[in-house]
Amino acid sequence: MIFGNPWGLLGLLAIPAIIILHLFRQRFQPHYISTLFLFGPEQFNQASGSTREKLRRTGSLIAELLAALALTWFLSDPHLYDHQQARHIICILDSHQRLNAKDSKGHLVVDKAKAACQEVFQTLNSHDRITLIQSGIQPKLLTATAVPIANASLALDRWKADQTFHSLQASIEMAIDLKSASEEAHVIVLSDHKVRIIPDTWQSLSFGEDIGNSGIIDARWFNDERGQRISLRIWRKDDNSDRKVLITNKNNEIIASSQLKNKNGTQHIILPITKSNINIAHIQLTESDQYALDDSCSVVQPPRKLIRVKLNNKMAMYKYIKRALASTHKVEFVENAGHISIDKTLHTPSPGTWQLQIVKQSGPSVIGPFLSRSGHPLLQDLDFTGVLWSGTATKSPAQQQSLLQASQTCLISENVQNKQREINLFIDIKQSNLHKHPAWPSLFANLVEWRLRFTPGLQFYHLSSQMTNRIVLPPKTKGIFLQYPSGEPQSLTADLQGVIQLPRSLMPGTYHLTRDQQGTKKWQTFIVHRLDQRSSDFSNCQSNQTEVSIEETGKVQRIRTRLEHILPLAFAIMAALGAWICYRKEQGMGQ
Amino acid sequence: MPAWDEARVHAATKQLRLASDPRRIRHGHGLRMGQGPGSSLEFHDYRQYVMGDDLRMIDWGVYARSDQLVLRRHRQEISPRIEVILDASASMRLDEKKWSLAAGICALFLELAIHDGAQPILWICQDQAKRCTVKHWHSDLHQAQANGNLGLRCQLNNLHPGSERIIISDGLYPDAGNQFIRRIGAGSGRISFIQVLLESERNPNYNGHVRLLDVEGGERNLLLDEQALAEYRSRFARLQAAWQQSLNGRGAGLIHCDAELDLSASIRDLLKAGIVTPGAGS
Repeated sequence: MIFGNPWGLLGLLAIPAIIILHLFRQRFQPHYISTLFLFGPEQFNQASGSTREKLRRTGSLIAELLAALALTWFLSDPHLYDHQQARHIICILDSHQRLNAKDSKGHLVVDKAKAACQEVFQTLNSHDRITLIQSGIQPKLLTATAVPIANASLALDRWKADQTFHSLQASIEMAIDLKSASEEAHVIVLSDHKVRIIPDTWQSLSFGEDIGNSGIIDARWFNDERGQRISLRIWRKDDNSDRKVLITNKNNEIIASSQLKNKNGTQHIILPITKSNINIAHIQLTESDQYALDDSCSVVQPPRKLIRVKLNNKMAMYKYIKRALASTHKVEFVENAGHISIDKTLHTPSPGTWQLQIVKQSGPSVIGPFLSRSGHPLLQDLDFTGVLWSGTATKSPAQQQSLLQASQTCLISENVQNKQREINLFIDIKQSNLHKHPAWPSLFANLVEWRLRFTPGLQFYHLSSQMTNRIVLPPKTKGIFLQYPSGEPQSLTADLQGVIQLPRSLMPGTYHLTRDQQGTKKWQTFIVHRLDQRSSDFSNCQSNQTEVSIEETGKVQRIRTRLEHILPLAFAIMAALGAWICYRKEQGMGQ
Repeated sequence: MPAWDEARVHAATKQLRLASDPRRIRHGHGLRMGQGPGSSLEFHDYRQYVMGDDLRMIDWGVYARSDQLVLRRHRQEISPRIEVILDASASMRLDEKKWSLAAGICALFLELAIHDGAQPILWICQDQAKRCTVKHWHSDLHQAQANGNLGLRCQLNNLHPGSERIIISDGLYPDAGNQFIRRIGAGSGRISFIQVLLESERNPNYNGHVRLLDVEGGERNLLLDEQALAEYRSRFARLQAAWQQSLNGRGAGLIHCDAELDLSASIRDLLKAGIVTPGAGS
């Protein structure tokens, strides 16, 4: 005997409770008489509620016990077998958004897949089971596993093919796991192309069509030293229509346009944006085709990022450092506090300012080998071979970590305290040739790029749903709100460095970072695109509908039927009603 | 409304007669021979003529033979007056059989009285006594409701003096006996008390925890055991003895009728008690 809900057996506690109540219950069996005066004025033994009496098999007792048993039956759901024999079909529903393309007859592929799936359901018996897997970067079950057909049919109607491009591999692995749990499960993959990476015993039903298409596969807005421009990549295949790409502002005014030239293949278009005060631009391909989702998108103007550097012009290495920094085009030299302060110009650095100090120590001159800290962004891709390094420190200062060292001498060290960072470069420029080495400008380029990573703002302003994003909050800010395309806000809290890492698998749309929950104080905006060349290319699509015939039955998890729900409950209600009627009769109130 | 066995009552009237006590009936001119002298054709006795006697009654043949004036007297023709008093308290309807039997016995006596040429009167005693004449007794009895609280304890005025009174009741009153019989027995003829009782009233068989609900009011929760039931039976016996004692010397006395049995069994009880006799057609 297996109990669906063993806690329901606690209902059996009602039985001793009922018996105790009946043992101590005052039972006055009513009798209508005409001779009450003959029983005399004296009181016989009055029945007492605190005296235990002999248990009498009254109707109410039996009915109450039956009601308690029926209720326990209902709650605990006893059954003999946990599994039952039924046909089990696992349907993998390819949920790529490109299933929203129309075929040559104007029918949506996703609708054809749904209809075919419903046809398969109709060939099954009512006790057969369905498991629906929605494919995606993270596949998910549309219902529980092995649900009745009615539930699966409802879930199928609600299913939407709205996932960005992903591999079906994860969904197939999920189906394999589910199939192994069931003895005999038949797996069907519904897609717009024939899926070849499935076992031979599985069935692949495809409903797509190799149609010509034009679509935007990448769109970005650049804002750097070369000015503002929108970069587009357009995919075209067998599309002979004369199409243009239009870029409009929020008032639908065309701010840039370009004619598409090639009929096949990928085109890269860069359109300069000359108008100012445009934050979001809408990109649209003229003319329509069978797949509309890739014909338009939006891009957002990213803020230009510059590293403000306060450089001590009296230092010996001034000209070498300035030349190296200027080559990055991402640096602005300032007199006041900035992102980087070089050579002890700030005695009390403001929060978030990094300090680079050029320090001459009395260590020996070294020519290598140089041991850099693995993966450190400052020393990434740097090769110091051939450098004569003098002015080194014999050991790294207290509370500082060595980033680069040669033998026992420390060449570069750093100290991190919350958002502040102090980097020490131990060098004697008069004796060293580092400033003439190719690693010198690269060292400062790495420093700028590294600092850029910690300037307030986003890592990406245009990304696909499979990319992660990184937010650096402004100084003195601990948290921010992420407003989803649906308008729902989510509170985000930064780590000690003021950084928030956004997860991947964000749904396509426009996201806003706001300083308040209501979304009135917008700070930054970024866009998650649904664009992907693989979503716009229908080359491998085909229609291959074969008849699905499933005969094998296997073990599936038992589901409590409606009768098994209703029967004990009805029995309990009837017994409770009977107990009430019996009680009323016993008390004489029913007459 | 009581539903008695009217066919059985009708058949019984042809087989039975009221056993009237001629010594106690002095009223009217009827179909039955009285105890005293009267004006019927049947000879009664002779007596000496006294001044003032009707000369037409002198037996001139005796005078011729004995030279004495002798008055020839004839038997009196009488009509018995019957008053049937039916207890319509709620206790009479404790069981439908009890009330039907009581109504059946009542109808039987009324039919017998009418058959004997009497002018019976029916008294239905609820909380007030209702007097029903010979013309309407049948419908009145049919419409009678046993729901009174007083029953025989209600005021019974205008009882006919010297009438024969038949009381049909269960006799279950705390103050039964002398008081009631004294009240209705004054100036009455024969009194017959027909007691209709259920077996459960004579000998209750329930025990344990019971709630006793009196149909005439009152309730009590009791634990009944053998001792309590023995006490009940003792009290019941004393009640019956009180009735018996008060009816002593007043006629047929206390006649028991079992409500669980039918009218035929009750008729046998009545025959046994001598309140009715087998008629000419029996």
